[in-house]
Amino acid sequence: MERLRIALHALDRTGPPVLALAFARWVRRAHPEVDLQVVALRGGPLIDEVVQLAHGLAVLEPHEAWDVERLDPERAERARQRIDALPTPDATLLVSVAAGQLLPVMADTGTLVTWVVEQGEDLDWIDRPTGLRERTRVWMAGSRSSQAEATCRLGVPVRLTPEFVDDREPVSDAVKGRCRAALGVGDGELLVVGAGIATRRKAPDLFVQAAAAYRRRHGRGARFLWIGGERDALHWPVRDDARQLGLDTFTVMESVPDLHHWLAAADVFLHPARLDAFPLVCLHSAVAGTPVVSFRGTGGTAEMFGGTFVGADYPDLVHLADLVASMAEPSTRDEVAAAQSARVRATYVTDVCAPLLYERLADPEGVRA
Amino acid sequence: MPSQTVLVVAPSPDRRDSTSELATLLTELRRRPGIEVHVWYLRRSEEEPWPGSRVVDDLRTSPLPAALDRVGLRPFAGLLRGRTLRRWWAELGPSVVILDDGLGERLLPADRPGPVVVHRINPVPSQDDGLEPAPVRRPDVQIVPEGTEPPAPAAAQVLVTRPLSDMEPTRPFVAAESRAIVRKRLGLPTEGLLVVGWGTNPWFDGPDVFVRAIWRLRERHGVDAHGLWAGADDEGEVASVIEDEVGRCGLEGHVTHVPRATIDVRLSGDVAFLPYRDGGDLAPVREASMTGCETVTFPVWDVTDPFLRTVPHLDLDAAATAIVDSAGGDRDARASAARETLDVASFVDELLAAVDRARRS
Repeated sequence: MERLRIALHALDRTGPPVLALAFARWVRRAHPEVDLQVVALRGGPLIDEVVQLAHGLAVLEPHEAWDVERLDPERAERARQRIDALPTPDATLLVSVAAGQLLPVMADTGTLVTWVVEQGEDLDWIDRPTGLRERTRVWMAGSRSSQAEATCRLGVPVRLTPEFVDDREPVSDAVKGRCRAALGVGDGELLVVGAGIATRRKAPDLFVQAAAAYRRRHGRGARFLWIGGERDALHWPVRDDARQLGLDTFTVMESVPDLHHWLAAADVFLHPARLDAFPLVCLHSAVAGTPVVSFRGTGGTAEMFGGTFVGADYPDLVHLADLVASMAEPSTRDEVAAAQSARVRATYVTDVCAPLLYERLADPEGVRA
Repeated sequence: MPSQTVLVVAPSPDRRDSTSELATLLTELRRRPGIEVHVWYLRRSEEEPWPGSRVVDDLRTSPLPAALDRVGLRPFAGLLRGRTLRRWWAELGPSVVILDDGLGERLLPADRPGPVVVHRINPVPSQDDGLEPAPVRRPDVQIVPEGTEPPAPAAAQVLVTRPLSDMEPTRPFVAAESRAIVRKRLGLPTEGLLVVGWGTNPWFDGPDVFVRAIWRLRERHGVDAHGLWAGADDEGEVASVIEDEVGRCGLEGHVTHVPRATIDVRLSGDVAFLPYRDGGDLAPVREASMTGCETVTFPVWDVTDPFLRTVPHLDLDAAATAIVDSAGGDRDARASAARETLDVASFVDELLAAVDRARRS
């Protein structure tokens, strides 16, 4: 493969762009000869890193609307010209079906491979008038839960190609200590972190309710920190909930450039999502050495952690709070963290998964077979 | 000729809860044979006045006295206004005067014995409170909200009241048979605990919290519970919130959403659970009370009500326990007790008896 294009809907710090960037870094490292392009419908904070790795292109200006059912002809023509200026790739990898929004203005893609990394109504992009269903030559899914739903919707084979995150250097105790000090976490206090956009699916409201259940059952020995979502619908309502609950143990922090330090500083990562296909933030937490607690049956966390999964049936917040409390015991915490970390490092890190993805892009016929 | 003419004097039309309850009271008074009810407001406001009411302040701007004012004949203008007011009064000949908020004493004739005077004291003062002199004459009867000391000058008879509701629309659902008919019509299970909730806002009214409470009842408290969410409109977002949460909780077939629900739907349950983040209209809660149905909710209403059972905010374990507890006991006895304290008809009986006693004394 001489030329590879990675296409995605935006360059923000959400799952698909972070995943795409991890793959781009690996391609640059493992296959420096490949001419790599990263085309995003919209820009975002990851664009700086993208342009250091590849020919980067954010097609729309931040203020420009994009409705695939009613494309503004002038805007579409300008986008088409910007993309056409790039050399035609041998293969194009769409990271998430939302990236299909680019297809109406992306004429030459080479072999089009779509990597489904979502679940639920996010998969509605498959049936929007983008040409995604017709033009995709190979379908892949990042997790079994995405694979099952995509197969059901598409009626064609969807190959499992696991999502992954970069392995990272351990965070020093000094950095962890500074993070905890910045939050005012006292000695012996449990720091419980959650992260994500503030929508119903990511469920910061359930994070707050878990914090309340924890306090009712186990006292005040834990601090709960939610990172991100400051521009989303549930940001203020969730803060109101915390106020009504008198939860002085709950804090919200705006999105941070490097979540890794905060995940490493946490004693527990609590992921209360109502639906999340394969939450990369949980992989990041495991890599950072922090045990993950989540709901069962709300996406891919049970698949992600296999026998090392720690979670409660949805929507048992009381049990979830008890599981968090069980992590107050350092030996339990270390044991769970070590087991989850070992599983993720063996199964879902870039050096393990990216070669498989690359191979499937380079040899789509083999994938189809 | 009516045997009693009741004149209600109110400060100005407003949107206080007590004003809605006054309307309920007047409707019930008008239902009584031989009673005629008239309403005078002291002033106008942006709110709609009671139909057919009179505004005393209009005398100030009526053409003839206003013209006399303009040419410097103020004393004559005052005399003219006084004469008109007396004429109004004579035409009406009220036997009972209810001064809402205790305001408007200046309208009463000085000569005694006049009509029986009732002061109705409300939890929230009128916006016109500072514009009227405080009453100095001792009323015959005072109506005061529960927990409030009767203000001076105290009356010989004091009626303590809770917020009042009209029992009539709820009456059919006191009978278990009527509720069973509604359940059957909605295709709900006839056995087991039917928990009802209602609301239209997908966040503040907590329809997802309601669904999770049903899960908790079934899965953690072992109760054969069915949830019924009664909506007021199409509420697309509420419907999708409920549907999504039901799917995630595996509660298909155990929660029903009726988007355009009528009162019979709300009153068909064994117990109500309102997982509100913000206080809403208490009238439906009182309607439920009058059928003996208790309501479990979070501490969002600043009222003490024996039919409202409050559990800690968003604590579904406590809510489930309270729901089970509320569904037990003698529902008929609860309905009778609610009727005695909340039903406007019972209260009007009390009021008329007090008026009669005052007249005889």
